[in-house]
Amino acid sequence: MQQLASDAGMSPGYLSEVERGLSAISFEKLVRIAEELKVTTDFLKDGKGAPGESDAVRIPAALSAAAEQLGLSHRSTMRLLEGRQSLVARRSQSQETEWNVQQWFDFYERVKEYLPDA
Amino acid sequence: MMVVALNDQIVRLDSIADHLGLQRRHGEPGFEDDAVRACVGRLAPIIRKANPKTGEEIAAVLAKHFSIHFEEVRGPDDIVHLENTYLRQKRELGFAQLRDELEDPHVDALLFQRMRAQPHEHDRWVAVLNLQLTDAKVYWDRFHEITHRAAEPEQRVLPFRRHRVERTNPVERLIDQIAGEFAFYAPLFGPLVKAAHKRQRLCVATVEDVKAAYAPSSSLLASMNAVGKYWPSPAKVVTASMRGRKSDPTKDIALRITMQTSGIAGSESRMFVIPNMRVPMSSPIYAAFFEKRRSEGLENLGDWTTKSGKSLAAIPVFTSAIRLGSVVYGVISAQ
Repeated sequence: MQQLASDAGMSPGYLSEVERGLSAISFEKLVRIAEELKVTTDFLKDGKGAPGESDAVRIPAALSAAAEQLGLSHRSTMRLLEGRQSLVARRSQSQETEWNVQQWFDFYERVKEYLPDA
Repeated sequence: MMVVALNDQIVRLDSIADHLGLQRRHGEPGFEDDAVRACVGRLAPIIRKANPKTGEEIAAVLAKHFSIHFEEVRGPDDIVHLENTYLRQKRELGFAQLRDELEDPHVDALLFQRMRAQPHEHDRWVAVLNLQLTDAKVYWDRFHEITHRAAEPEQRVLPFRRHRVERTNPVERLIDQIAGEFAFYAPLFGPLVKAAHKRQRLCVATVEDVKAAYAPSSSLLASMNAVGKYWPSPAKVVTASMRGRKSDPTKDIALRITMQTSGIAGSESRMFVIPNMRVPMSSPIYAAFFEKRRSEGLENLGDWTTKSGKSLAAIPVFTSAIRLGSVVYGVISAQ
C-alpha cells in the first residue's frame, strides 16, 4: 500500500480511506492508481475489466486531466472517450498524434449538450 | 514510437490471422496468400447467394452484410449534412471530429463504428469517403473499408484504432491485397475479360468497355491493372512519366516507365520491361505523352534500349496508351 501510494503520489492514509470507502476520490487520482496497478478504472470501481481482459479501456492521461478540470462525471468522461474512439479507422498519408488536453476541451465543447452531465 | 507502431501492427496482423483461422503468422512465407484465400473463401458463399453481376453490386452485397453505410463528402455542404444526421440526430459523438479530420487533404477515408446503433441497423459502421479533391479512388475505397470489416475481428469496446496508414503499413498492404480480390472478383471479372479477349485486342478502349460493364466508378488505372491481370494472353500494364534516373532523380530527365501489372498469362512469355527504362520515340506511349492524345499501334520491344545499349527481347507487341494529367497509362500485349 505504501509503495502504491508513493508511486501514485498520494498518502497511504488517504489511499486506505479510499479503499475503505471513507474518502471520495477524483477521477484523475483513480486513473493514476489504475495506471500504477496496470488495471482499468472499471476494475478498481467494480471489478470489471480485469487485467488481461481484451475489453480493458485505458483512459488517456490528457482526457483524465481535461475531465478533472471540467468536473466531468465518469460516465461523461467515458462517453467522450467512446466518441473519440468510435472513429475506428482513419486512412491518411499523415500521421495522427494523441490528443492533448486542449483537444479534449475542444471536443467536449462540440459534444457537451449530448453528454450525461448536460 | 516506431517500435510502438510496429507492435500495434503485429498485434493487428495476429488478430487478423486468428480471425481468419490461419496457421501461419505475419512474417512467415505464404501468410498474405493464406489471408487472401481465407477471406475470399469466407465471403464467396455470401457473394454467390446474392448473385451479383457487377463489382458495384458486390460492393453493395458485402457492405450490407457487414452493416457498412458509405457516405461521400464532396464539399462543405456534405459535412454539414453528416453532422446533422449523425451527431445531432443520432447522437454519435465521433462525428464531431469529422470537420477537423476532413480539413486535412491527406485524409482519404474515415470509418466510424456507431455507438448508439441497434444490432439490426444497416449503418452500424459508417465509412466517410473524402472526395473533395478527387473521386478517382471511390470504388477502391469502398472495398478497402469493407475488407477491414471482413478481415479484422469486430471491436467490442474499441481497444485499438487504425490510424497509421502509410503505404509501408503491413496491415494496410494486406487489406489492399485482399480488397483487390473482391474489387475485381475472379469468378465474375475473369469471364468478362475472357469474353473481351475473344472480341477485341487489348487497348484502352477495351479496358473502358470492361470498366463500364463491371465497375463504372473504378479508376482507369485500377481497371487497367485488373484487365491486364486476367487477360488470357501475355500482357503488361505500365505507366510513364517524366523523371530522372533511379540513382539520381535529377539526372537524365526523360519519359520513363513504371511497371504496374504483369498478366497471369505473361509469366512464361519473354515480355519483360526494365523498371524506369526510357520510352523510345517509336512507342505509342511516347506519342500519347507528347501529343497528349490516345495513341496505339504495333511496336517491337527490341526498340526499347537502355543507356548502356542493351535492348529488350525483340517481341512484336501491340501498345495502347492514354495520357491523363502528367501520366501516361498504357497496356502492352503480345501479338
